[in-house]
Amino acid sequence: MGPSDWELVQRTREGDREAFRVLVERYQRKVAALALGMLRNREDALDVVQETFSKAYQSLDKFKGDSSFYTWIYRIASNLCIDQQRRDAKMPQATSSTTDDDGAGEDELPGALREGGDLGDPFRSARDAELARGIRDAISELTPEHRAVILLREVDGLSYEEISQALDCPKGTVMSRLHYARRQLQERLRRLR
Amino acid sequence: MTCADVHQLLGPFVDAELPSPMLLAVARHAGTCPTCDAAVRELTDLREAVAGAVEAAVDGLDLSGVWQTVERAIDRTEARDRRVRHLRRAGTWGAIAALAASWLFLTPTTVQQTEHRAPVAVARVAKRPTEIDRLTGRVASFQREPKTGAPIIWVNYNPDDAR
Repeated sequence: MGPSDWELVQRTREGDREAFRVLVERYQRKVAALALGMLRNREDALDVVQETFSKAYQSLDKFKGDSSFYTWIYRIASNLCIDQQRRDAKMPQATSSTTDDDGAGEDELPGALREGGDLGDPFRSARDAELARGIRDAISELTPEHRAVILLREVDGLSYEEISQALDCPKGTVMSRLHYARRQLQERLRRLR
Repeated sequence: MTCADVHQLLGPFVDAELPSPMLLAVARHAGTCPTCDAAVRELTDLREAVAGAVEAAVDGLDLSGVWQTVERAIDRTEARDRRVRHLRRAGTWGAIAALAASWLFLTPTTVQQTEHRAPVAVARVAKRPTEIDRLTGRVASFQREPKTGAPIIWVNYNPDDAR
C-alpha cells in the first residue's frame, strides 16, 4: 500500500514534486471520468484534468485536510467543468462540432459497445451503442449541477456527504438533485428500450 | 413498510446511505414485493449503464501526458512567482535608489536656483563622481534636459542587478 494522500500532500508542500506526481497519477482517471461525463469533449476534458491539478498544486496551502484530498480535487474539477459549460453555452456554435453528438465522437464509445465489438452479435452491439449514446445524451441534457451529482455518485462512487463537500451544497440538495437526475435518466432509458 | 414508503427511500437504499434498520426494512420489503424489487433493479441498472458508458469513454482518453503538462504549468507558475518576488525586491531597491538620487541631485538644483548658473550645478554634480558612478548604469541614472538643463532621474530595474 502506498503513502496516504495526506502524507503526499505534506511532502509536496515541502517541495517534493514526485509526491505530487503520485497524487496526479492516483486521481487523474477519476477526474477524467467526471470531466468527460460533464463535457463530452475529449480536448476540453483533458484541459480540465490538467487545469484541476495545476490549480490544486497552486492552492495546496489552502487545503487543510478538513475533507479528503479527492473530495477537494473533485470540487476544483467540477467547478472548472461548470465554468467551461457556461462558456460553451454562451458560444454553442464554437463547440458543437467537437462533441460526439454528431457522431464524430463515435470513437469515444466503450469498446464493447462499439458496433462489431467483442460481443460477437452486431445487432446487440449496435443496440448497446445506441443505448450508451442515449445515456450520454441524457446526461448532457441535465443541468451542470445535476450532471455533477449523478457522475460523482454513479461513476466515482462518492457518498452524499462527500458530494456535498465537493459541490459545496447541503446534503439534502445532493439527494434531491440525485433523485431528479435519476428520474430524468430513467425516463430517457425507458424510451430507448 | 408500504410501497410508497419504500419508493421514497429507493435512492438512499441503493446508495447504502440509509441507517442499518431502515436498510434492512427496505431490503425485506423489496424481497417480497416484485414492483419495488424491479424499481431497485432499475436503479442499479442505471448506475451500471452510466458508469459503464463514462468509464469506457475514459479508456479512450490518453492520460499519459497529464503529468508532463501539469509539471510545465507548475514551472511556469513558479517562474512567474520568482519574477514577482524580484520585482517586489526591485521596488524596494528602486525606492532606495530614488531617495539616494534625490538627495544627490537636490543640492545642485538648489544651488542652480540660487545662483542661476547651470554650469555650476553640473560642476557640483560632477564633484560627486563616486555617487554618480554608484547609481549610473545600475539601478539609477541621470540625464539633463537639453534645453532647460533640469536634471532627469531614471530609475531602472534589472533583476540580474538586484541579485
